[in-house]
Amino acid sequence: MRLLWSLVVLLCSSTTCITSRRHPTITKRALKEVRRNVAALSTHGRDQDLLLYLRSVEASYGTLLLDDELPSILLYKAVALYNAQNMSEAEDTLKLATEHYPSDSRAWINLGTALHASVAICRLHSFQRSLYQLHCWIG
Amino acid sequence: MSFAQLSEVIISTALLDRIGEIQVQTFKLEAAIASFQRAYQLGDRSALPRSLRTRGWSVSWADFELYSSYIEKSLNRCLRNISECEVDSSGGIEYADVEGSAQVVMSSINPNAATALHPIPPEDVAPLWTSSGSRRLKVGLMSSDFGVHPVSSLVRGLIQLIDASRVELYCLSLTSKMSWWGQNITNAVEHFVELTGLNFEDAAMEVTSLGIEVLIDLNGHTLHGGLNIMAYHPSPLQMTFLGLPTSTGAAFIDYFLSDPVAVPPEHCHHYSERLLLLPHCYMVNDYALLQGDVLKFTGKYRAPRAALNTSSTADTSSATKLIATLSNSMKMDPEIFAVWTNILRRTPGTRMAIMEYQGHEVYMRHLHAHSDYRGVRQERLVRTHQTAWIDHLYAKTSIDLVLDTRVKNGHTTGLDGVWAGVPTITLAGDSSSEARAGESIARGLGSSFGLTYSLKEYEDLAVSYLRGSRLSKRDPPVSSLLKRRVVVEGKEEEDEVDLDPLSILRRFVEQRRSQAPLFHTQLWTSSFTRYLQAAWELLHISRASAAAFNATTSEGRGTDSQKYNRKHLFHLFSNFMDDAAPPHSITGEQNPAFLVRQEYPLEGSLIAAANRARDASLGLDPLICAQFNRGATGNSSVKLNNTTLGKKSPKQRATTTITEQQQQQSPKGVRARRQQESCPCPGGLKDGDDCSCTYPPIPDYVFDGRLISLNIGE
Repeated sequence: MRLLWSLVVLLCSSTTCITSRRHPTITKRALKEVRRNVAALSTHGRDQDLLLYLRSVEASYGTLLLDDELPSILLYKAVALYNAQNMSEAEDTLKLATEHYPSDSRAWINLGTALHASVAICRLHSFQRSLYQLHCWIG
Repeated sequence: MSFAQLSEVIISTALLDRIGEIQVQTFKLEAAIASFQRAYQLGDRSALPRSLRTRGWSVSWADFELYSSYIEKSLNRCLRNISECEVDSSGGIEYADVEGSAQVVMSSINPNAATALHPIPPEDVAPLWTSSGSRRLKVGLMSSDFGVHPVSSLVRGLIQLIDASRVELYCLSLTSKMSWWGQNITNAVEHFVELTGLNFEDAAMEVTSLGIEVLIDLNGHTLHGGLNIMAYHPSPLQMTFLGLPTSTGAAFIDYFLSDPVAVPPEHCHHYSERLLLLPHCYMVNDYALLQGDVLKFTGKYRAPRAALNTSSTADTSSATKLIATLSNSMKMDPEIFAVWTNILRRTPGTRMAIMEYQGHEVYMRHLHAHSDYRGVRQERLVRTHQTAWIDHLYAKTSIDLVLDTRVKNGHTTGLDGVWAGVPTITLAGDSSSEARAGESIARGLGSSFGLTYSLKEYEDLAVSYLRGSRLSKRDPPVSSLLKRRVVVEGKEEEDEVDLDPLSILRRFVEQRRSQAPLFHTQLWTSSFTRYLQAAWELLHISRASAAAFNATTSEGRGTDSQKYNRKHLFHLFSNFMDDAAPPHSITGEQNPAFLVRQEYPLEGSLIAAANRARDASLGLDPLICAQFNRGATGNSSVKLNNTTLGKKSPKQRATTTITEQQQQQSPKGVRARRQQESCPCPGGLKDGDDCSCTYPPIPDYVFDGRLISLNIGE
């Protein structure tokens, strides 16, 4: 039994170890690489590139729920979507992030901010509606 | 299906859609508050200020004082030690009365952008006036709100009237949404560039490649603004204006554009930017161009109250007077609402119209609960639906008195009220520019009418007007307003005389709105252009001085020079409402008239130069150094020194000017003044060092027939 347990520990410390409970196929090295890229793109404000990169990651693994580390990769995606003015998708991603990482307070704060912002945007839509009445009025 | 049935289905679908949208908004506001609460429960205290802002929108004032005092404490802590900041631009810092709060570090800005900042070579800051003539200044207005947005509607006139022979204007749009504005206004712009779908750095490179010299942000810290792009410093001179009238707190923004009423010069320590104070109310608009027809709806031609599109249950016809607030729920606060309910209690028969903006289902419910609690029946708060844009000012002429909000004054809505001819009562705020917009509008109208300085005065003034009390000495002279001849459909008619004070005051507003510079878009645009040119020229001077300084000083000193190079910019002032100011002509060219106030080395020479420029032209009063001393730790302290504003007689002014000039031109005087002011040290020196001993030698400037050239002494 002790030997078996040592074997498990040895396997987990190797590069082929399955580190994530959520995703069985990603290696520790690959996960580290993804995180490093995501953090670099995010901190340099390259939101469009980040979204492209995450699309390729998602295509490779079928999900962005790769590990339990915070900030989650979903949160990076949501912030990039928000900055890229894709508000509805940002909101959905944040809901997903709060669902899967309920203890991530940043996700909750960002969700609140996105919800608040969407109300602000709707104010503008309402303003636009009133402007469209001008068109009707003209003609 | 018949056409009638089809129409019914379409209408009911649209109605359901609208109801659904309202429910979604209601849900979203409440869900946002719940999200912030969850984050707070998880131990993230920065959720609290954000929650306060969302609560402000939905008028959830249950524990408002508790929240705002918490934010005050957080801000004070943050100002003491920047690493302890729990608040940023998205927290409700506007609800806290803390000096310098606007300069709290803004976490939404990508901090790495600052490291990508590269120095701009002096040759990129070419002068506007040369011996071979003048050239156009390349100006970019950057906004995510080009389209259907109040900011766009305000700058529309500026875009259309700006002098193309002086300015090459670029509109840099951060959104690609098609709209009425996009279709109709975009064509009027010389260059319209979309920066959507680009990374911030790429967008910054695009701006640089366009060669834009003055980049003006119209968002501030609002949704999807361009500060993250400006952080890369794509243009030599960067400014912020209009979108959010508070400091960005960003080191890469050089100037904050406003006016001396909204931002009194002595408040400069609330701003991380230099101030560029325009002579008139900073809120540019084009009401006179686009909504001129409203001017004829006066006296008996005012809109009936039914035009206000109130909710079906509200009865405004029986109200003796109809007061209104045109601001949205976000700008209301418990204190001002208490005053409004007091006014309603003291003037029975008066009703108050509240505009329905998004989320009104939530905030109206809360407002009704608050009014019940304060002993005012719910039906006295009249819900007013949004009116079609073409009619909204006409509808607003039916209002008798507008009551402004306190924490944030009405800006576009404030102008709406004045253009509709409605007397407005506003409370002059203290430090926040957002709370001083009402005063700026009132002064822009050339009057202090409706301005109050305490909530008690605000309430009493409103009650006296609504009760029909006699006008007091502080009100505008009324004798000239009692009779008036108006032209209606080509015929001249005698307008009826009405001794009701509100009617007299309305006449006063109606008279002033077509005369005062507040709505004079051409005048405003002209001043704006001159000030941009002045700012650019000053940058050119400082760059030239730094380059010369580098060339003449030893190695090491040059590093210091480069460090303070960017900071070597100035506040620009002019006397408020100085309409008659002629453009001074040192060179025969029409150069911008300006005053400078400086804070960094080389200042003595530059202010002397500015004084000479002033002597040659306007004779404006100098504004002497009000130091904003920011230490290396990020702590800020304020030292206000001798400030002379335009309140002296010309004789006194001349005497003062000569004395100041002599003092400033004398190296001893400069040194003594520096010691006295404990001025901020240039890069490489620590705060508290004896700056006077380590300053480099001061070069001097002389006029060369153009503007200012450099003559290195010693």
